[in-house]
Order: sequence, then C-alpha cells, then structure tokens
Amino acid sequence: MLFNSVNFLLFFPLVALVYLVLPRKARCFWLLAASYYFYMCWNAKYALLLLASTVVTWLCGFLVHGVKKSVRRKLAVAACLCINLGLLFFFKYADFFLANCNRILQALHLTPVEKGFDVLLPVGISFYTFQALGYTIDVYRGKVEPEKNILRYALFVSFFPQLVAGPIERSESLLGQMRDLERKQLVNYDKVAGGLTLMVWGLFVKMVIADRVALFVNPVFENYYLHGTVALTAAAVGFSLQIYCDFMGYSTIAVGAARVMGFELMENFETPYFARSVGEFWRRWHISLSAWFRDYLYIPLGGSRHGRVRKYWNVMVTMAVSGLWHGANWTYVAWGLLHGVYQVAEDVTGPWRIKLYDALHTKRESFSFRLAQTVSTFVLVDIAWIFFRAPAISHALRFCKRLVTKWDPWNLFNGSLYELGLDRPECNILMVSLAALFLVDLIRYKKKQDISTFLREQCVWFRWSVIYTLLAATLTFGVYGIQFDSTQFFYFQF
Amino acid sequence: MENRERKKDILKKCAATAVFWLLLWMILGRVYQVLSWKDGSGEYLTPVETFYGLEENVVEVLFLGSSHSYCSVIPAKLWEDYGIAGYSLAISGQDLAASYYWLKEALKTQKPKVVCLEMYGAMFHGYGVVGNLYRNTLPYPISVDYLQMVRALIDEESGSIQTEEGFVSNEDRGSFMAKWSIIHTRYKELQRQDFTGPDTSYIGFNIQADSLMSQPVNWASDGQKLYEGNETMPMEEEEWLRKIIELTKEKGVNLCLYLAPTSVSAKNQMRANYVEELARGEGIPFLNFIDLRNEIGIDTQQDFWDWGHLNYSGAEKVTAALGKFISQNYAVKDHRSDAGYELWKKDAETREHELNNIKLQQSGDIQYILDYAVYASDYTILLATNGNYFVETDYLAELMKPLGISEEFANGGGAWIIEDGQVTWKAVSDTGEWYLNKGGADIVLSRQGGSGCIYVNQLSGVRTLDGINIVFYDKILNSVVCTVGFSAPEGYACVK
Repeated sequence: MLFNSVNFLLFFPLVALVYLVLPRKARCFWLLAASYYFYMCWNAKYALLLLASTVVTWLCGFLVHGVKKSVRRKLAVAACLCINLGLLFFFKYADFFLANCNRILQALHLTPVEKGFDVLLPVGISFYTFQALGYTIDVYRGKVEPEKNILRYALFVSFFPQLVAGPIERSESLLGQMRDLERKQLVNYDKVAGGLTLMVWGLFVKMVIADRVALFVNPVFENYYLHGTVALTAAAVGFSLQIYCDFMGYSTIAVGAARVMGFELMENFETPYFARSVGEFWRRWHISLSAWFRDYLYIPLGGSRHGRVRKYWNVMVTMAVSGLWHGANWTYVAWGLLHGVYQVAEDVTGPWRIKLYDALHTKRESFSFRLAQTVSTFVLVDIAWIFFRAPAISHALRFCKRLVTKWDPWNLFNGSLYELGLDRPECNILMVSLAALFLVDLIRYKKKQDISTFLREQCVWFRWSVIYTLLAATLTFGVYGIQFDSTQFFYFQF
Repeated sequence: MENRERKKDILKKCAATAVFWLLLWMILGRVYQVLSWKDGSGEYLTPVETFYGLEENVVEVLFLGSSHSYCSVIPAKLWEDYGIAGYSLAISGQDLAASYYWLKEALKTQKPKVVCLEMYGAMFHGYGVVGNLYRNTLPYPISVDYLQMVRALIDEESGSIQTEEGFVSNEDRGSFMAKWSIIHTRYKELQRQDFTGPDTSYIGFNIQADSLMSQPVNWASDGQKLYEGNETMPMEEEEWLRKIIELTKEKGVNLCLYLAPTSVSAKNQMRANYVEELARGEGIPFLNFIDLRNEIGIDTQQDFWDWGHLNYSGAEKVTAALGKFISQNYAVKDHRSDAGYELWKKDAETREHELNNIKLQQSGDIQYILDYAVYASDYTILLATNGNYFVETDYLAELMKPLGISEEFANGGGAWIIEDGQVTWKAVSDTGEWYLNKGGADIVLSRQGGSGCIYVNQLSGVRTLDGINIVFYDKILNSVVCTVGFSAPEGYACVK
C-alpha cells in the first residue's frame, strides 16, 4: 500500500478517524492492527518476520536489563544482533554473498554453489530491523527502560507511517510517545492541520516532481550509451533531484501522517543540497540513518578518539556499511566509499585549504564563496549518485567517461533534450514545481521551519491558497493512474 | 469564563474546517469539470454536455450508434421538414454495449417516442475497436449505472478491463470508478471548450468541409439484396442488442433499427440480414438502407465522403426517408411553433450557416465573396487594402459599389468593418484600430501608414501584401470562418 495509492487514501483517514475517537485503552491495539494490516498488504507472510524481530528484541530487552553480569548482558545483546542481522543477511544479502562466492570459486576453477532457495526481499526489513536493534542497544546502555507491554513495543517497531522506509526512530522518542498514548489528548487542531499540510506537500514533491523527473532520468540511465555530455549531465542532476524528492516526499508524508495522530517523528532531511561540505551533507541527508550509524557503529568503533588514521578508517568502514545497507550490490558500497573518501579528503585538506584561502584573501563568509562551496558539494554528491543509480560499477564508470568525453553543447539549444521523456510543457511544469521546492527549502534553511509551521504563521487566504494549489496541482500534474508503471518510493527497496 | 472561551475556539475551528473543505470541494470540482471528457470521441463532436443541459422530455427521436449514425442523420433536416425534435447521442466507435448504457442514461431524463439505433455496431466483434466502450462512456457521470458498466467491463476470464492501451487489471477498477486517475493526463490536450463549455448548439451531424466532398464507392448496383443468407452476430453483440430491446420495451419506448448505406463485406451484409430476422421476430422495424438504396436514391458516386460514411448529400436522403417513416408510423409532433425548442431552432440556423461557410471557404472568386459580404447577415466582415492593391479600376470599383466604399477604395484604400451590408467602422485617410474579442475569436483590424493589418487569434490574417484581405466572423457560430486575400499583381488571384 503506497502512500500515493487510492488504497492509502481510504486506509489512512479511516485509521486516523477511528483512532481519534476510540477509548484510550484501545488506541494501541487499533494502531498495531492497522500497522500489521498495512504491512501485510505487501506480503502477508513477511508479517511473521516482523513479528519474530519484534519478539526477539523485546525478550532481549528484558534479558539485558534483568542480568547483572556484564558477560551475560553482552552475550544477550550479541545473540539479539546475530538473530536480527542474520535474518537481514538471509533475506537481503544471501544472493549477493553467494554470487560473489561463486565468482571466486569460478576464478579458482572450482564448482560454483547452487542456490537452493528463492526469497523475495521483505519490504522495509532494513528499517525495522535497525529500529528494533537500536532499542536493544539503548536498553543495554541504560538509556531506556525495557518496555513491559509487548503490544506497545510491537507498535513501536511496526508503526505504519514509518514502518517501510523510516525515519528510523529512537526508542527514547517514539517509545516514550507510545507510553503516553493513553494519557495524551489526541484531537489537536493544529497538529491535524499541520500533519495534513505535510502530507499534501509530500505527495506533491513525490508525484509531481520525483515521478516526473524519473520519466527523463530512467531512459537516459538505461541507454546512457546513446547520449553525450548534455543529456548525461542532465540525467545525473535529475537523479539527484529524483531521489531527494522521492525520499524527502515519503518522509514528509510519514511525519505528517504521524503528526495527524499526535506523534512526532524525527525529521529525516534538512535541505541537504544546501550543504557546504560532504560532512555537512550527511548531517542533513537521511538524518535518522546517519545518526543511527554514528551512534551504533562509528562511535563504538572508536569514532575520532584514537587518532586520525583510526578516525579515517572508522569513517570509511561506516560509509561502506552504510552503502551496503542500501542494497546488495557493489555499486552501493562504491557509493558509500566515495562519500567516505570525500569526507576524509575534506578533513585532510581542511587546514591547507584555509591557508590557501587566507593567502588569496578570499572572503570566506561572502555569498559567492558559500555558493561555490554549496555547488561544489552538490557536484561531488551528484557524481556519487551515478554509482548509486547504475546497475553495476562498470556501467557507472562508462557513464562517467561518456559524460566527460562526449562533449555536445549544441544539444542544449536544438531541443533534443525535450525528446528524452519530458516534452516542453512537461519541463515547464517541472521547472515551476522545482521553483516551489527551492522556495520551501530556502525557508527551511533560513528560518528553520517546515512548510506547515511556516504556513501556520501566514494569513488564512495565503495558507489555504497554497494548500488548494498543491492539491489541484498534484491531482492534475501528478504522475499516477491507470497503467502507470509507478516508480515506487525509491527507499522501499532498501 | 475559560470554558466559554474554549467553546468559542472550538466553534471557530469547526467553522473554519467546514469552510476549508467546502472551498476545496468547489475548487477541485471545477478542476475536475475542466479536465473531464466532454464527449466520447475526444474531438468535441459528441453532444453529451448539451444533452445534460436539456429540459426533461423534449427529445422525441433519439439516435444512437457509431459514426455511421451521426453521418447519416441530420436532426436539423428532421426539424425543418417535420418539426421533429431529434437528438443524436451517437459516438465514434459506439458499440452496442455503449449504446445500451447511453440509452439507459438518456431514458433517465427523456421519454422519446422512438429510439433509432444504427446497426453498424452489429458488425463489430465483441469490443471490436479496443476500448470503445470505455472511451465512449468516459463523459458518463459517476452513478450506479456507471459503476455497473465498469463491472460489466471486467473480463471474467482474465479479470481485466479492456482499454485503449490494452488491458487493465482488476485492481485498477477503483481508479476507473473514481475517474480522476484516468482523466488527469488531459491537461496536455485541454482546449478552450474545456474551460468555457461547448459553444455550439450541435445536436447531431457535424457539417465539415469533408461532408461536402464525395468519394465514389464500388457497389454492385442491381437493385436487389447484394448478398443473401445469414451470418450470426457475435454473441456479445447479440446479447447487448437484446438488452436494448428489453430496455425499450420495459420503458415503453419504440425501437427502430436501421442500417445506413455503407460499403461493407458480404459477411457483414449477411449479418445485417440476421439482424433483420431477429428484429422481425421481436416485432421491431429494421430499415436496411443498403437494400433500400435505389428507393431513396443513393448515388454511390456522389453520396459518400469515404469508403463507408455518407456525406451531406447522402445523409439528406437517409434523413428524408427516416423522417417519412417516423412521421407515418409514430405519434411524433410538430414542435416548430412550440416554446422550449430553441435548441432545435438554433441548430437549423447553424446548419444553414455552416453550409454557407463551407461554400465560402471553398470559393476563390472575388465576386462571389464580395457579393456574399453585401448580402449575408449575422457576419462581421473585415476588409483591408494593402500595398499596391489597385490595378483594375472599373472592375473593382463596380464590386465595391453596393458596400458604398467604391470612392474610398479608389482613392487610397482603407480598412472597413461591414455588418449586414453596411459599413459600421472605417479607417480611410487616418489611422485607427478596431477590436473584437468574443467567443472563440480575438480579432484586431488596424490601418497604419496606408496599409491594413489583421490579426485573428494572435496570428496574421493578412494573406497578401499587395491586394485586398477579407475576414469573415460568423456571429452565429462565434468564430472566424473564412480568411482570404486577393493578390492585385496576379489579377486578384485568391490567396488562402
């Protein structure tokens, strides 16, 4: 059940309305039932997996908390990690692992191992596994008390707005809110209105921008060998926009849907393309995942506490694992490593660059300098996205080679770009929509306000006009409908 | 006190919410109205919107069927000859299933004396033209019947719906029923009519330049049945025909089947024979105009505009025969002097204009066009001279005389607006500008530096830089119907 489907359009209001009028004690059960139904719409069997992950981490929470001996506590956490990561490995990485083993065996002229099973990747497995593991580690560290009520804990793991693509919530925040469920006042006009506004904005960004850009990006990436610098650059930039709008759109709908029901989820994006360094980009992009890796991998590895070399090693390991988390393909690992290299290079060259700027009397706080930093960061991130989007590393490398060597600036002016999936009127719609996105992001960057907070402070005619326009534009210009081969939310596959 | 404030706040928020949703409903309703299909063929030719604007129980004869139906019957002629209020809900590619659903829809507000169903649909095989039923019923409002139709569309074996694009899965049925997810792509093809609504009084038979053209059709013309024998209809089509018969009986409406002259295969003519037998068994008349072609005077060399569709001349003959049959066999009334039939009166007026306009467009003769400018009513005519426009003094001055501008024409030319044979505006020795922004026309006539300038819908209406340029704006049809120039250096040859 996608957020931009007719089914969700019926499902969500029904769930939210019943939830808001139910007796306090029934709320948790109702949301849990709705969340499992939501998940089972993809594949009913995999709800067992979700249940298994929930039960294992819930029990582990008690074991960790109840046992005083350090070794047993560690063993309990290790067992919990092994079971959960084992499931994740089996369902997500077994094929990849086997394929690579066979490659080595073939190189050694040995008989490859035959695949004895065929599994479908359970949607959202990486997200809920990480959320549940986060809880286990938090209990181990004593940051949260183990949850006694299994229904409440099961709801924390399976809460439908963020179940299949995050944000990966922290137990102290979301579980805390669930513990308050029976006490808090639910019907809050501002929250409902704000949540719905976020959902409308998220749908607009996903359906009008992300899915429209995809109409251009997909054919160019798939037939990159037919194109030169202009089309390939446009496709690379287009993919940066597509993945941002796709994932940010999803996250915004998730945050909005939760807010309608009185829950506050963490923000996953803080205008990442306004970042002035790759390091800053990662503090703004997929924040819940970056923070998870920072707290549960990078810092336990030693973080920056054991010298520079160890720090850089930790950065590279964290980024490689982060890449692998996105998918069972070397392209994701390459993407992660590239980001690791960027961050290490930024750190290594930092003092030299400052010296150079000072020597050249560069005004480091000027708009032009900041703009140059933002643009150069975007270019670096964009190059990495090529690896993320390509089906194989060789494909990405050939794409980059053509992008640099097949110089064809005349294609900027002869209208040939309009023949690659988006004609002139479609491009005009896209440009106007991107201008709206830029404005909203600029407000967020400058005023630290999301669109619903900003609109709440405006006059009613403006607020309503914006919402009406967004809704009408989404219904009219959104890419959806009969026989439309929907680009699912990109991050569902992770 | 605090409690009262709280109640006030809640009331205020409830009121704001109600106003918000009401406005949203109105805005999205308007957007839907613009985006929705206005007809079932996608060419703004089907009078569906006009039909929904009709008063109840005014239609006396309802015509249904495919393009063969609306190309063979001229409701305006029925009105002029008999005062019959005929209305055509025929749509390109309308198969019998779509005819059934349109009949059902029409009978909700109208109680015609006769329903005339053109039987070319019997030649289709199932949904012969993929997606016709789907396309034909898109302008259908969302109702129980519409939902039933979508259900009926599902092929039980494959669990899919046939559309123009192919098959649609059963899961998408909800999208079909909600419609928005089908129509949202229409923004790419929106036209003025989508925003302003249909601006013609079209109720059937669209007179275009094509309908005055003719293409010979090869037929064996022995005056007898061309092919004897029977060929059964496809089961689905027969089923829908029987449903139509049942529905008309249930509603107490007379059904009359007819087959317009068309060039069809032996197999299809035998299928028509089968329909005839079926109709006879049900006590329903079936007029096979292929068999009756000699009686009604169909000329295979003159009466078709393509292989299977009648042109205006052929349609006049079929309409005359049908009109005679209907007036003799059913209790239809002459409504020509009745109130409430303005649509039919306007349609008859429109038809005359459309015919004249086509003749105007086809003519290249300056004398014919200037004569028309003098005597035609309900037109605004723009006339402007450009460059070296004057080379044959006597001849042209004579032509301009009835308009009263021959002297001005001879002494330097000018720009004139003519209505009902009179000059209503002019710029002769001076400069000036005249505007008309009405209906589908945005027209500018100006004169500067001794030359005329004409713009029609932001495009130049000047056809020759040395000669006379003329534009005809039809006040009945609310559009520019003829733009023509006469080049002086080429002996006033016509330039279009």
